[in-house]
Amino acid sequence: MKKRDQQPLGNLCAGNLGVDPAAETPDAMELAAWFDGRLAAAQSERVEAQLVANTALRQALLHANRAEPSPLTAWECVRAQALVTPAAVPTAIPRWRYWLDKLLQPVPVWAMAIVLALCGFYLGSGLGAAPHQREAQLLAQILGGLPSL
Amino acid sequence: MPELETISLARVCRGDPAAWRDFVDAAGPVLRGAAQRLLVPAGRGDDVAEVLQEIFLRLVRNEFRLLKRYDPQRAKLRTWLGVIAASATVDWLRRLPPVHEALSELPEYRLPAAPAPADPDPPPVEIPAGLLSARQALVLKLLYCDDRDVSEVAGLLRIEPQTVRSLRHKAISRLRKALIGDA
Repeated sequence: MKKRDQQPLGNLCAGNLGVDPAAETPDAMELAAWFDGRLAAAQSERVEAQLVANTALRQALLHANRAEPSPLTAWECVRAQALVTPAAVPTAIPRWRYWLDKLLQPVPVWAMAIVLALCGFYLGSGLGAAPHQREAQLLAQILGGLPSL
Repeated sequence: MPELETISLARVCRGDPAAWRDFVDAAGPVLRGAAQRLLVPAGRGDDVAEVLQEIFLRLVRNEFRLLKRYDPQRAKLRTWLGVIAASATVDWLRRLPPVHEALSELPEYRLPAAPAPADPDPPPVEIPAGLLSARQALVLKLLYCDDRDVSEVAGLLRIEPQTVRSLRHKAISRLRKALIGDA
């Protein structure tokens, strides 16, 4: 039947054809089950109503369903495989351990800061040795070395 | 290359790198084919590698949460992966910014030759709720809005072509009766 034949019925593609779409879009598992014909009649009706109403979803699924496998390039393969490496796999840790880690994480930073500060004070001869005091000491040494007139 | 149906998803979901490599080798072509099928007509064929990585990322994210949802009792892995790939690709296309091109900057061959004649679409048909079953409506949509032929629709719905013709006939008869009358 050609497109002309539908003109007496008006624009069929614009509406839902009187079918009430499901409130929620079916999830991927439900759609796949529908494709494979493994849904019960009532569930199948619900998915089909959604496909009637949702043109973008229907066309995307139709395209995907008819797609031929396409081999991966070497680069695509390496990138995908790199998503799961022994180091990348997160291991489940207990909650107390998580909070302990959180608490202890700043400790090395603070320790380093204290060490740096102590080194600074040591090199500067302590807190009391301000620059003007050191200059006065130096001047006294110089003047003490001069012969008295 | 390992067969898709022989891959141990339990091992993949435990984060076994060897099992994941097998999964990528077996599932990658299915995912890539589905993504490519949607991207090329949209003029985004160059995005295949990025979309493919996005799909794999979806499967891995949150300790394989999506992959763990797959239920082999309900659908084949290949079918499910096709749906996942379609969904991710549609999301990708939706996220793309719209392309704006100034008419003055377009080369002449890309300009429309003449304004299209005024041929407004007929108004949408008001169809009483429940007149058609979901399956009848889907058959009409596939045949007349998506331009699929009877054998394609039959293959998709896993029914005989004769059943598709019968569903179409019944649907159109009901529509005629409701909209035009018995004349």
